[in-house]
Amino acid sequence: MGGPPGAKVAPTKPLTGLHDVELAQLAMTADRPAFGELARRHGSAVRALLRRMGADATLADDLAQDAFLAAFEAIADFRGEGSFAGWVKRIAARLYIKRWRRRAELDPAPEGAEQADETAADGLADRRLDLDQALKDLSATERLYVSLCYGAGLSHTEAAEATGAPLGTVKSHVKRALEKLKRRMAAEAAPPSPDTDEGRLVHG
Amino acid sequence: MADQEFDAQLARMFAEHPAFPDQVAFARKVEARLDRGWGFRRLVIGILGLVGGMVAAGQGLGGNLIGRVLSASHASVNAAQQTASSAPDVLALVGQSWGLRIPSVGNEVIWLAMGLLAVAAALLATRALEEF
Repeated sequence: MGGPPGAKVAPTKPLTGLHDVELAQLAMTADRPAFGELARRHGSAVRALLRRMGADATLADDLAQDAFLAAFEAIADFRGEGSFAGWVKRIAARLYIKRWRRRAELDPAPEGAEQADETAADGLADRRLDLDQALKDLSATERLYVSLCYGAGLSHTEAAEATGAPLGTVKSHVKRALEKLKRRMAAEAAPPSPDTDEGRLVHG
Repeated sequence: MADQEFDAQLARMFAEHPAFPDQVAFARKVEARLDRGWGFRRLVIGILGLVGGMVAAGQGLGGNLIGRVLSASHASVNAAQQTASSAPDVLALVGQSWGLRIPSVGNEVIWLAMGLLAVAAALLATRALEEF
């Protein structure tokens, strides 16, 4: 992490050179370009999570924007104890769950009836992104819960509270999802093809 | 142990994500929505302030508020003058004790000065709280 949360930010430093915590401090003073820099840095992470949870590309982008706006409103709550990306991911995940619940899609969809994932359609390393491919093998509910717990960092209890599902149901969905992912990944032992530059992976 | 390893591997995989080519455009959209929200907020506050000011002005004029304030002010000044005439001029007395010649002032001036001092103190306290 960068400077301590109470540290003053040098106004002459370019935004790209500031740490997330410093940018968040600037955003607390309604500095919108500083928050825009945070959105630039972590937008992809949030959008990718939403797509992995099952949102299509358009919905993922809309919800990611909503999540960043909500984060701006609540920026004073970000203390820099965890990562900024993780904090926004949790906000985004909860927004997606709200929508999910409104559409009453919590019933497991039949296997193989998943919506087309546009990550592949975007040409974003569909061969390298084993996870995105593997997630397609899961039911919508399994995909949601495993993404919530492993992508957004929610505990089983938090995921149960967020979705309104019983804790046991959440655990069984996650367990089934993990078993499927294990099987899928074990089968995908082939090395990735180096013939494309697309889909550069970043960590965060 | 294998489960823990798989958990860690899965968490790492989730932490990795594709870098979307339009991440700058995405950030601009977020900023634009923030600006729109900010502008809308300022517009609403401005309109509400204008409406509130107009209502206040209307109420003040309709209820002869200015006349009542003036008459109340005259009454209080009269009362203060009566009190001052029956009591020694505190400021003048203090000035005499320090060897100064301070012209006699009305009590309302002293109250006004104290009020201004209180406002200044409040502003200083607010500023200090913001800073520290």
